[in-house]
Amino acid sequence: MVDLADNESVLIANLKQGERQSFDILVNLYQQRGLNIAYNFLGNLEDAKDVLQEAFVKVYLNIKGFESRSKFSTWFYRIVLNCSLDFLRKKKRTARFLESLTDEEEVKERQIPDSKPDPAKAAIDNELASDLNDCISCLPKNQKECFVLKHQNGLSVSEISQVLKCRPSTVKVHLFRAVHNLRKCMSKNLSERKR
Amino acid sequence: MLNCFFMKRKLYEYLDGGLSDKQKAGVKKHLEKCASCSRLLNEMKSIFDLAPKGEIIPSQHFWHNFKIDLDRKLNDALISPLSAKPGVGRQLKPVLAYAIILTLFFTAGGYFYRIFSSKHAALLAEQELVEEVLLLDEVDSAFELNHSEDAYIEELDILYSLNHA
Repeated sequence: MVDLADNESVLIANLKQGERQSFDILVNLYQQRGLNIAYNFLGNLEDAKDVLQEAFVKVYLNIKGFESRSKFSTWFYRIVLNCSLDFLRKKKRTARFLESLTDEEEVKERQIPDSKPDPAKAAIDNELASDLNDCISCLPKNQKECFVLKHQNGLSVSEISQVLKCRPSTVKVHLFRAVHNLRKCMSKNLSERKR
Repeated sequence: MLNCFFMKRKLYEYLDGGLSDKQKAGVKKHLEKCASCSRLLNEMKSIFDLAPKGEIIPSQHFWHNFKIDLDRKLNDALISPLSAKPGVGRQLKPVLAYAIILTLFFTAGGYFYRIFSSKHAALLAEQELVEEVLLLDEVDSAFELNHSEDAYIEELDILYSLNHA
């Protein structure tokens, strides 16, 4: 059984030589994860697709600058995040995130599974999830990055610290502040849910 | 009160499973007694539950089109010369700026040098002439020469013209 990490280092070495086939394999390996990060950050599938493509192009053009001291995944996630931030700066479209929620396909992915016996409660949960997404989009940059990577993409604190090139304690502070800000933002809606 | 201040900062890790068993027991004990921190914990837990999780799973058609678009964008980036060396354009701007500033500096310097140097030369010429006239007067008075009025007027004309050059 071939070690996945060894496979990846071989792919990266070949990619540094300009081998397109290795690039295609890396794209297949990381496209889903990259799309999740971009989508959770931007809230729009079309934008996430554009950002992900831009990130892969940057990977191809700058692979010679990648040193194997860090993992390829953390380097790639950093590129996806930076591309997402650049996209938001250029477009400044948090409103587009609200429009994207009307897209039928995306609404299917965002809905909380209706395993609860109370459909009314499930409907309220969906509405609150939508409100939470609005609040997440309003978080400061560092808090948003940490929250999205941790709670929507399942990265650990140490992985996030490698992606963001900061200490794990800094990540924890950002997460704590993010949740504090989200709580304040959601305080009205949460009290309605409890009724 | 002070205990709540420290406990609140532990609640995130308590929910996230990042505390040791001893720390968890301490937080749990505090939560049993503190309604405020308990309420805060429930609100944080609600946010954790509501945060959208899971993968966004597009169709196969999406990934097929994604790959085609990506190949096209990559080919465009490789063909475009500037995209291969993004630093070249950036390096040229400060060099051009310095060149323009230096050119302006030397041009302005040369202009002001010419102005001041011609004025200075005129001043020197004027001083020399005045000294010469004074010398002539002394000579005149020493030798009691009949220095003609025309010569004086001529000298004054020269002095005047130099002064107003």
